Amino acid sequence: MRYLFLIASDERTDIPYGTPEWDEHMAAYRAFSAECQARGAMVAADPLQSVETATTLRLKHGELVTLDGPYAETREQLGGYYLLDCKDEAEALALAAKIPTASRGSIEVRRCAGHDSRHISHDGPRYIVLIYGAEQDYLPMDDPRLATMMGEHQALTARTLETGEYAGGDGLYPPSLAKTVRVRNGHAMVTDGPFAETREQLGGYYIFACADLERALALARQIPIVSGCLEVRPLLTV
Amino acid sequence: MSAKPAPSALAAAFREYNATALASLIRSLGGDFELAEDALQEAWLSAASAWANGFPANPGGWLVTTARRKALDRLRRTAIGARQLEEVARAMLLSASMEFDDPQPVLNDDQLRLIFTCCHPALAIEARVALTLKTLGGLTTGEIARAFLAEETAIAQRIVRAKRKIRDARIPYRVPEAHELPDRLPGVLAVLYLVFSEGYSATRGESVVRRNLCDEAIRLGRLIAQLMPDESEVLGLVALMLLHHSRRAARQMEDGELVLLDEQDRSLWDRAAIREGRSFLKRALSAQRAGAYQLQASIAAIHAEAATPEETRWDEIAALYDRLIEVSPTPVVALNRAAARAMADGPQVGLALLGEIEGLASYHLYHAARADLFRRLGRTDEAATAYRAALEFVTNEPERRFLERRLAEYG
Repeated sequence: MRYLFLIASDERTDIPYGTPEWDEHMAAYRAFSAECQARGAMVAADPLQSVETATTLRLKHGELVTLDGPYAETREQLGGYYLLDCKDEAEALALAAKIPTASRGSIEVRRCAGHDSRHISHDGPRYIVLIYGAEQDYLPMDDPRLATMMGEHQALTARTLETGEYAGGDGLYPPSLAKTVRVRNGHAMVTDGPFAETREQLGGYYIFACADLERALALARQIPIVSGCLEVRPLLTV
Repeated sequence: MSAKPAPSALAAAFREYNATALASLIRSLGGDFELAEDALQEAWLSAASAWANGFPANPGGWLVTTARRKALDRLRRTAIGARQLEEVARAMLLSASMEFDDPQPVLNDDQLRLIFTCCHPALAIEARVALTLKTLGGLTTGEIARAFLAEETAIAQRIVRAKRKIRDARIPYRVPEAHELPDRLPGVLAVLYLVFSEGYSATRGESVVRRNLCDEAIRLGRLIAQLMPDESEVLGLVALMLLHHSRRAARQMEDGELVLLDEQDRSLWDRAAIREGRSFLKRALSAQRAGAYQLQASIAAIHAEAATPEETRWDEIAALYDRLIEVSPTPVVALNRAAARAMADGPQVGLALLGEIEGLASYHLYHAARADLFRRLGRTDEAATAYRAALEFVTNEPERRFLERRLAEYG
């Protein structure tokens, strides 16, 4: 089973870049990634650029409006992700507790819903498009619009695979099934639900490889949504 | 001791060349604002000594060349720089070939590219305005802060954040494609009009008309109008700016004192600018899609038509304001509409409309307008109180002196 691990922390109190503490933090991340590789769990992982680089496309009166900033001004913000294959939720939660940021922020664990989620590595700039919506606004399974929507997702995936811009993406099991892991004083605590109590929650994502934000926004606009918004964040390319 | 150029000569050169050199540099450095600014600052330091025996033939070109070398040196010294250097090299090759192959000066205008970057919708509107005024208008953060009644540190932070986002999120440094223009244009026009307004009524200092800013806004407006001749609001904005600008010689007396519209010597109005403004307006209105700029330009054109203040068609102006408030329902438009209605229907009507406006309690012109209507109704005590309120909030010297004169008459 594939799980998406959302790493959230408060950027204002994050360990500053360039300090010896930051070196230790990075060493811990390298060790965790190595462990995931060794277990054969690793699919993909990326840090995100600061939340200050976020742009949101919000659906208003049937139109997507471009706005500066993330989908919601929460204290903790998404700073990176791991995409890992785990045999069950117990293993996923155990791995989440080992992510270095778990000791100071929150790790939201979400099971991926897709059957054909692919990850294609790219050298150039990439953007993650986070699809946010309120769970009560999800289309019911028997809504005919759902099939249309899935068709549009498949078409977008096919188109961007063709152009070489597709770098990943998947739908997620509903936010109500999310688990959040925090390690405090050496103890892992698991709570039900996402890391932030916001009305809108992550429902899926795409990763696109493209030259600039303009193109990333144009691709994001092709993602079918019936409510909520799309947050576009550049990945930190190292 | 080597002779140094007089600080005032360097300061004048800075005002003349810095904004265009920066625009050119940002483009040739692949859109890196911070690098461009730092390198240009270093280039100015070099200029202070290198120009000791006179300015070079092409100071702008000198600055760009020197700053570009300093930027490349900087990149070579840093580890991340190596990768960026590659991109800069690509960007430079690209721009070099564009300059040779593309005969259209409009598309080559670095400032046009820059304004579309600075006005990108992924930046907050306040950040777009501040960034454009800083990079294209050459305003200081202090001047921007006063123009928008904000703290200077907040403006500085806003600019730094915007530049970081442009760099890290990779907001492209180019003129949008044709199909992207309808989405991108209104933000650009709003910024241009703010630049113009900032120049037209400086928030501080002795000069009411800071012609550089007005000329710059008009120049950029014309450029966009050339690029998008079918966009009626672009034509409307250029018309509006030209019609306002036509009054520049009459707006201020030799000693710097401000002259109100109905007291201006109308023979000083720039007829050529009025003609050109009216011709832009005519072209705009022919599209039959009247927007806020076209309505405001129509109002300015009616003022320009009146040979004397008494001949002003206030009924037409008030009717245009009634339409304008539908399109752009802002407190400042409401203020102007109240003033126009007062002229058309009497001060009593104007005062009633002013009473309905909220959110202008710290805007000096709101109090000045009330004071003027009280004055015309002979309610001198209330007029004096309102003039005092206006003086509390005014920041522009000539306007302050004008209000003080009026207060002295009624206080």
